Amino acid sequence: MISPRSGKSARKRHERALALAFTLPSLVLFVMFMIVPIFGALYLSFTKWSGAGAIKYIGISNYTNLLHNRDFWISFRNSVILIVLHLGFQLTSALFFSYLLYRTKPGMRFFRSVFFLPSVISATAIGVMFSLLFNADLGPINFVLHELGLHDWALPWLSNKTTALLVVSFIIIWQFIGYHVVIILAGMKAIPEEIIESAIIDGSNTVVLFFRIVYPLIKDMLQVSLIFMVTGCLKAFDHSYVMTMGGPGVSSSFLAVFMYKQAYSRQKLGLGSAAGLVILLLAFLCTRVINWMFYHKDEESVT
Amino acid sequence: MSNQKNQIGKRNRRIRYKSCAFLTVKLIILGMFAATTLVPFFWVLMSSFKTNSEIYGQPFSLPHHYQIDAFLQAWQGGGLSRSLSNSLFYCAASVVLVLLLSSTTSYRFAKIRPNKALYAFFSFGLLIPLHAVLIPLNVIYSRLGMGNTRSALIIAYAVSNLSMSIFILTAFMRNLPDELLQAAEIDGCSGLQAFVRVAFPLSKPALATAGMLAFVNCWNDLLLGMTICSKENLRTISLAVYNLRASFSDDYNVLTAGITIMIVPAVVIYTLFQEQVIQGMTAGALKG
Repeated sequence: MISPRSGKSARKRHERALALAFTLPSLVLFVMFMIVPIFGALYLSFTKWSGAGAIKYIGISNYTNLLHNRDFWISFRNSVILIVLHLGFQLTSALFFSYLLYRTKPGMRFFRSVFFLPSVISATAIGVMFSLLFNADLGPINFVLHELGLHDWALPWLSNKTTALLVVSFIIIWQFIGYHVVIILAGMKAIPEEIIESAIIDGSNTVVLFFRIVYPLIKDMLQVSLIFMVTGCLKAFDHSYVMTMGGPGVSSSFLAVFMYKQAYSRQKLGLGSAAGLVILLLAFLCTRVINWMFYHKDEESVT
Repeated sequence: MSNQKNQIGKRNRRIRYKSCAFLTVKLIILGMFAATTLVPFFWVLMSSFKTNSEIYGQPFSLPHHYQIDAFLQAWQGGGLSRSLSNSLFYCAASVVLVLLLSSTTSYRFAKIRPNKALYAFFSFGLLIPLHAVLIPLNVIYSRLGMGNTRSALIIAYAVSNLSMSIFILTAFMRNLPDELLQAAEIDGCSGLQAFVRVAFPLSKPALATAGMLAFVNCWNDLLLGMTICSKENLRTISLAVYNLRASFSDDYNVLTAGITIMIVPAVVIYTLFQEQVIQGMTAGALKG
């Protein structure tokens, strides 16, 4: 006969073994291919290495090089521009369209699914698609401009320094408006119906309703949207790489494109790793700043 | 009394009339935005059935005769047949792998032995941009002799989705009723059987959400596929479509056919599992 005590401890042991068996595979892969690479990047960022031959330790030279690297600063500036354009156009459009959708009974689900569609589609496919549409000689956009007699407007969109950055940026913005509409809309739907109804009975019109009632109540969702937007901008790669290769020159290159090019076109793995870590640090920092901003605002509204 | 009622009725009618006009304007604006969302894709689809001269001469007309030559060219000449099956395999394998890994680990966190520190450690992966680990990841693969292998890419996809998947599944499994699992154990199930027979099947909705997210991420990935599997016969669909532009730069019909081939599986998945896809892709936002 098994005493209840030993039965209990056998069960305990079984539980412990199961917990271990259920954690170990994930943990091993996660550590090997996610955590170790971060330290690997840290290590490589202090070295000079082309991928073959000896790895040479050079201290913080890669970081000081970044500070003096013109291409890095242009890519950095472009990423900042991308963030500003996102705040100015993507966030506002997402707010506008989600507020329009909110409380629109007919077609709400239809519009929501249509708006979200581009977010599901590969950035590579979208990049190739728009590089065809914006092609200077063969593209339909210039075709239409010529047809309309607007010959001066038919620019070489993707090989002009200014327009290349703008076109790439607005395509990223366009693709993910629907994504943020869904997030913000979920926040709006969580507002209790009575609050809205009593505001309407009090005579609030739509605009007042938005700024007085809806906006303060969806701040949590806006915070999340903002974090996703800004970190997404810092990671922006596919569209720029596919449409312009970051060019002409580096005029439409973002931080991630800069990092990729240093590492895989110029075989500067050390410098590339340093740039990769800069992206990581900026993502952390921006998330912190956004959280801090919202935290402080909350405090103000309480007092 | 009746007078008052009448007035309220009038007022209501006026409001209804006003809100009707308002609704129409709203629907028009929403419709216009929906159109800008759909038109580029529609253009791609239509162009893929046209001849090149038709595309250049009348870029926005419907095809005069629907032709599938461009699809055949992209499929064979562009190597899309190979990379489409590659990508389907990578996606399927990495979704299975990430669901196996994350469901077991999440079950441990939710029901066997909660461990806050370890859970936080896994969550840390949510904050790491792929770009920060890309270079060393490739170095590790080549040191392990795994450069340009299918398994390397599958593992990379699985690991890059692991944190999110654990996050989704742990949140869901925490809400599974303990009584059910205890009942299973009283009925003689071991802990493992309780997971396989009870917890895993009950977690289907969360598994679908996490699986859809992983699938969409893999299908749309360019960067990992480009750096880990650049060999021609291992190429992902993204890389093949990207390369298509080099070999068919002036053949808009072949290029649009290639884009269509790449987009269709994603659109099909989205149409069939729309709520799961949306939930998966916004999970970090809506449950966090």
